[in-house]
Amino acid sequence: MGYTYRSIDDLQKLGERVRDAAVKMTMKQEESYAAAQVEANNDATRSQTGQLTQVPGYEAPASGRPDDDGNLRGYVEQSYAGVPAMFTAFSVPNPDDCIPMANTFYSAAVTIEPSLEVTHQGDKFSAPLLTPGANGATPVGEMFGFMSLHMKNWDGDAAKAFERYLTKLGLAAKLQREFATSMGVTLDAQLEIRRRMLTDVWEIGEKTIKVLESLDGWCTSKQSAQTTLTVAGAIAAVVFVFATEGAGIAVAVEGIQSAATILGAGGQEKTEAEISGATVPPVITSMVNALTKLRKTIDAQEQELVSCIQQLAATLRVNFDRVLVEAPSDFVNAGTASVDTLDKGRQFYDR
Amino acid sequence: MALSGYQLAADLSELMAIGKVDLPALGATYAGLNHAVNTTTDHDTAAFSMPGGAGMSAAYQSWSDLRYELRNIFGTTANNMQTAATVMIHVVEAYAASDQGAADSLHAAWKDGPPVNAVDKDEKIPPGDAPEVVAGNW
Repeated sequence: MGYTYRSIDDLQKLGERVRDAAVKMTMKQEESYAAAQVEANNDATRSQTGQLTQVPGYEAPASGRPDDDGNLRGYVEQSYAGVPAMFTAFSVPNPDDCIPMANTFYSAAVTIEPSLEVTHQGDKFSAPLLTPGANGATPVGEMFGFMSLHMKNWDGDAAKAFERYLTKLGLAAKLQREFATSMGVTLDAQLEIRRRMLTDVWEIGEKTIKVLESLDGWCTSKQSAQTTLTVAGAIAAVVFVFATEGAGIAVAVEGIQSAATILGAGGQEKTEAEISGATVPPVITSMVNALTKLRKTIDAQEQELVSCIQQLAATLRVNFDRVLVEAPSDFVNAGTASVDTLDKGRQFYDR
Repeated sequence: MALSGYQLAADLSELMAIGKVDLPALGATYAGLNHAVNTTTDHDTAAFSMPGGAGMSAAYQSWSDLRYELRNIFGTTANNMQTAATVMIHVVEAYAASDQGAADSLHAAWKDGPPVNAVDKDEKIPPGDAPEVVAGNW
């Protein structure tokens, strides 16, 4: 199933269609109609006796019976007035607008060290492996190699300190690359949770309408539709792309865990929700339950993401001195040394 | 000194390549990465606002903190490269100041930029001015 962005307006219209289907079927189906009459009469009594009404803000009609056709329609419309807001509560900006944001991190990773092992990309996520590096920049790792070659005729404590510095910077670059990639992966996971959330909320709305419209006018037989909450697999899907297509992006570096590795340990459970009922109220209740389940599933995915980010942060703290390497003092001191110190002092001399 | 004159200049030219090209190039590259990561904040709301628009999602703060760590690592590395370049140029100039023949040869060779025989074709400073490193709190 392809992803289609659903804006707040789209969700509002979907919610209105669900609301209208609920009102229409309540007025059409004998048993739902009768149940609504009971509720309307009870709420009218509550309203007249100063009690809290079941339908917020309901007031007994000024003329006619609460359960006559005209007043009942008004009551039912008020009952389901909150339905559109249940759908717009899931509105978010289009996740695809943030693809350039994710690509910034992949581009940083590729600038540091291009991946030569992977030649194609998934069709869904950002294009981490084909994302070009910074414009005109020679990969960082390559530059360290050039500098080592330039040092071949130079020796001494400061010169050796500089060469050791280059080695450490080379390792730091690998860690920085992994770190940047992990930022892209976690962002992609965040965006995928949102794409799937929109897919799922849309599916719940459409299936609710379908079940409502399939209710029989006279005979109350239970109708149902299953919906899979695809958001449960959002993180797993992102990790899958990296596992199958992005093998080259994971650099094996001692002591460092990538986001893809951390998230990949989570696994995926199939999560479903049922929209069902023989009359309108249980159908709407099951829809509300499905939306609640969707919300909880989103929360669970986000918590998994938070946990991953916390692990990445802990890894960074432990390895910070390897990720950000300061120049050794033996080398820095050469920056103020006289030629005698450099040469005769054997700090930085021509062999 | 083991070498002098144009022979010393040849070896100093190697250090010059590091101090004038390689380290500044790395500094510029890292400054560019620092700047690029910093601009990702432009999309924060789109990526992390809570569904329905109330506040930011659970992952935002920790993710954003980590993003700024990465930005600062790139920025500090950029500055470190510039500092190392300064050290390397000092070493070159200290030797050149002690040997006029070497200094003349070296400065003549580098007067129009890196000599072609001193650097690889991929040893180059990225085009344009390096962006200023963004640092500090967020």
